[in-house]
Amino acid sequence: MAKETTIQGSAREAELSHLFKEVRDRPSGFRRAARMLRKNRIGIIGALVLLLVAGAAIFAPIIAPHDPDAADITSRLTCPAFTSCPRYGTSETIEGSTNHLLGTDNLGRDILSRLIYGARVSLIVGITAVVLGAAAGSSLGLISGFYGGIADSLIMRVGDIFLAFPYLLLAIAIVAVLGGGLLNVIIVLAIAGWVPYARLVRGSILSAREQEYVTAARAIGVRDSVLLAKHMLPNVLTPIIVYGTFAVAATIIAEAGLSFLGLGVGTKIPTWGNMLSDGRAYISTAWWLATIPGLAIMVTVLSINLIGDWLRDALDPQLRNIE
Amino acid sequence: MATYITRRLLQSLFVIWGVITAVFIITNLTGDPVDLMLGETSSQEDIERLRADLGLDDPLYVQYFRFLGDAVQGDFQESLRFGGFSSMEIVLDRYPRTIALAGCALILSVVFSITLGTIAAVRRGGLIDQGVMLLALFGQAVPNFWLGIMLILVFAVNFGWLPSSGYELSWKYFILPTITLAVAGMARLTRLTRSGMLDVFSADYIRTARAKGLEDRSVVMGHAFKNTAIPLVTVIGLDFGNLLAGAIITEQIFVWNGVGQLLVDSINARDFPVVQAAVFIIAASFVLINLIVDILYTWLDPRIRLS
Repeated sequence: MAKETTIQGSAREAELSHLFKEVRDRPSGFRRAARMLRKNRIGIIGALVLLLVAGAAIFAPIIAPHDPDAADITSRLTCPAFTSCPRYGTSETIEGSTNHLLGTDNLGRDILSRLIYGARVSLIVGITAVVLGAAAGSSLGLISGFYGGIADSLIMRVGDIFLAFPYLLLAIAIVAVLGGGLLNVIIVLAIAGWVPYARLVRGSILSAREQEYVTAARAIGVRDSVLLAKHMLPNVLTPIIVYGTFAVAATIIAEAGLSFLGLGVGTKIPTWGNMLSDGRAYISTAWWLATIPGLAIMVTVLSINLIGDWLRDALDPQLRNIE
Repeated sequence: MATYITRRLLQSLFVIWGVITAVFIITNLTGDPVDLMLGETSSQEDIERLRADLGLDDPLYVQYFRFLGDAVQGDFQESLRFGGFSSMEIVLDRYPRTIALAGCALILSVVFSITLGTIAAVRRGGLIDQGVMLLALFGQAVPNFWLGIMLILVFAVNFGWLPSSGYELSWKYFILPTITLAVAGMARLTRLTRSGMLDVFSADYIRTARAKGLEDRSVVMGHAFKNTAIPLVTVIGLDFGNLLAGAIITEQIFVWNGVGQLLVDSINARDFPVVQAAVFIIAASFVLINLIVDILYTWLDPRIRLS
């Protein structure tokens, strides 16, 4: 009997030791994600394109060939290099110039330079609004899920009211009150987008609340704030990061949409939405004015979505079906 | 099921109340409407008289309850831009155009995405699947205001096949705005249909259906599709709300003259009673559609219906 117990004991030890090694050697979430990125070529393309756009935005003053606001009426509506178009107001055909690789607008401003500066607005608004919305929504979701009761009901019902307004409508309604401008647009898009994070975090916290590690932490007297910040929040970060990535793409489109409607950051700052809106009036004579900024939005959004897909697959395969 | 429907009805009423309250807050944050109505040159006496006439001298809570009462009856005061006309009348006059556009976009989106999503799932990993997924990826990334302009450039300006803008009860006028509005939802729904179908394909009852020798078509249409359709109904409902909001931009591009265009024009003209009425109508429609979808959902799913 004693021998049998010893055999069983050593088998258990071997099993535990094997398990321990497996857990120790298992790559961490981010290492696994990095390994999966190397395998995912489309994800790499997305990341490279986004790096390029971000690099252009950061180093805009260095790489932009012209001042984005410098008007030159003599070279107005020049078509992109290597293409030809009728000279404005005449039937004479002119060639594009390499001095303005992507052509000029109706005031003779360089499209490429405005595009590079426009990337700044898109990325700043997209990322800042999402970070603010995610921070506010996650905090409210934490409170809602952890404390429950009146706080939970209140936050969730207010969330229901926000969800009754489609995203763009809510943004437009708030812009109508606050007015346009860079800061207001960021605030508006953050306010319009906080609810999904609150719901996501609340759901995760509700299930985490029942876990043994939470009971154990409470039993040894860990304070609520420490428990929430150190133990529970890290467990809900993955879905927030994945959702947030897709939200950056949606926010970039929303910002461009607001600018397109004349309710965005204002006409003084070059943005992709403004450029598109201005180009609309010249759609029959200068195709590049509306085409190029739209392509820039699409390529940027596409690259972020590709990164989102990769992050979702790498960090949380269970989320694959939540599209 | 009756309890569930009652609870959803009460929830929807609460949300409608919230929408009206939000609209009231918007009104109060936009400043004194009297300044907008009378302009800078009017005398203090005129301003005070109009404030008293409109009840703006009353305490805020009195104004709130009066606003609530009026809003329930659909009264959002007269338009500042179109004097003499009720804001709600103006909005309701344009509303059928928006609904027609959103409805056409929804039909296009549902028909295409369910067909494409199902084909992609059946041919998983093949060329068709990859093509459909690539299209969906681009569809989700393309901003609808740009797509609309590009469609005008190609089909109206270059080929001259379709009108570039305007609203008339003719299919020609509907094609470009409908495609513009439908594409984003179509892409999302295609991906969802595909992933829903793939999930169902791995279920035991599908394996059983195949094992007993049913043809592929019966398996897909008779068993897999029905089960995929249930969660899709919810998404389609939510999408209709997004289409109503998306119509704001589409109407602007195609000069459609619906509620969306009215809303943007009214914001630019600071005609806030019309802004309130338009925001209320779009949000209330969204709530109502979601309520209908939820009830439909319980009816479609026997597990909920019988519980």
